[in-house]
Amino acid sequence: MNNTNLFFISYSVLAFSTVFALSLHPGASIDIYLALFAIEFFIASELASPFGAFEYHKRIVIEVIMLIIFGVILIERIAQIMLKVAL
Amino acid sequence: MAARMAGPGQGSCWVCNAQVDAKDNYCRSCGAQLLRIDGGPGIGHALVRRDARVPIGVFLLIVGAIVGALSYFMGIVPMLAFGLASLLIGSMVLYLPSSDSVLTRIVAESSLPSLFNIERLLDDLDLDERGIYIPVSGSGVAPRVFVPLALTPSTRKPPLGLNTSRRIFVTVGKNPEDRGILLDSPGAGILSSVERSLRLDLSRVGLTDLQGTLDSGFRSIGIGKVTSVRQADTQNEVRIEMQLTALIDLEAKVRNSAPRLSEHIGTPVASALAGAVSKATARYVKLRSSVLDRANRRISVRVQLVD
Repeated sequence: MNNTNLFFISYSVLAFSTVFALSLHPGASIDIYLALFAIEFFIASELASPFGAFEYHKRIVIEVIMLIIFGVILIERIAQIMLKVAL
Repeated sequence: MAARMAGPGQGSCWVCNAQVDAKDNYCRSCGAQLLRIDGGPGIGHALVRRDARVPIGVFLLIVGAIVGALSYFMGIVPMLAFGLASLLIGSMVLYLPSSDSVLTRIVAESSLPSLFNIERLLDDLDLDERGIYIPVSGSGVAPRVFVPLALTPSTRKPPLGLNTSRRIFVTVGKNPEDRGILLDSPGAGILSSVERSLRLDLSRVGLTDLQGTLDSGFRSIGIGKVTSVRQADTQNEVRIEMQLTALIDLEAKVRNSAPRLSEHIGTPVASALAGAVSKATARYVKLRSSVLDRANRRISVRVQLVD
């Protein structure tokens, strides 16, 4: 099995098990799912990188998108906590 | 460039008319590349496999978009997450390349003629000595191989300056037998790619760290994983074991069609490993043996560190 297929299998398993696990917790909002999908992407690509030696561009594009998603959610959550504390 | 079919799965070469085995897409006798009329695993087959990913990606995208949109309006968060996950995976399936792409096969096939040329050169010059990898340093620079006419004190350790020479036929001593040929190693491209992907010069890595470093490098360029690098206690010998995920066909073809090259200098992967050992130890290296277990996709290489 090549690295790309291994990556897709591991990422799909991680993502869909997250959906199943968090669906048992009714309070979980969509940003928690998205943040976990972003983290799982980095875990899966470390386990089996689908990127070849000369695919820096594609790698950077996807990693930046994932980091932006994770960063925005994190900042939003921190802002919410700060607002609650301020109020 | 087609193999004429002579029986079930059997055929004959269009160049030399020798029998061609059902599983081969090249002639073991003359090395000519054959395009099988009866199909089989080839470029066309790879195209079909590559295309199979497109419907999967499109399907996941459509399912993700529909489920995501409906759940968003209905306010069902887990189903919305399910849709987003499908959308994400579907877009990645379409965006990321297959590591077993057509291009990889074409590049592998393109390197065969130059390897067969080296084989013919070794045959014509009747060179029976094993190639000596000359240590070198620098990221992306692979050791060159000196194949001596005869083993003499001068040819046993050719000058390090040969790595920058542009000549093929070189004399390294005063005697007429202190001659040989100087070649770029068959694994030079692989070794350079490993170093470029790691952004590292292997001459700065010791033999103790070589297994981990090579493993990362070979994994990142999608050739395989290096499972062990061991130095034998009693002899100046290093044994390397590797699990291949690509280039298996190329390795098998070179072994079958260029036996002298495979034994004396090494197939591309074996040569890259020998070059890596030469760089990491800063010593002259000779290939002792290289065994390919095609069924288990394993390659075992033994190299000798020359004193």
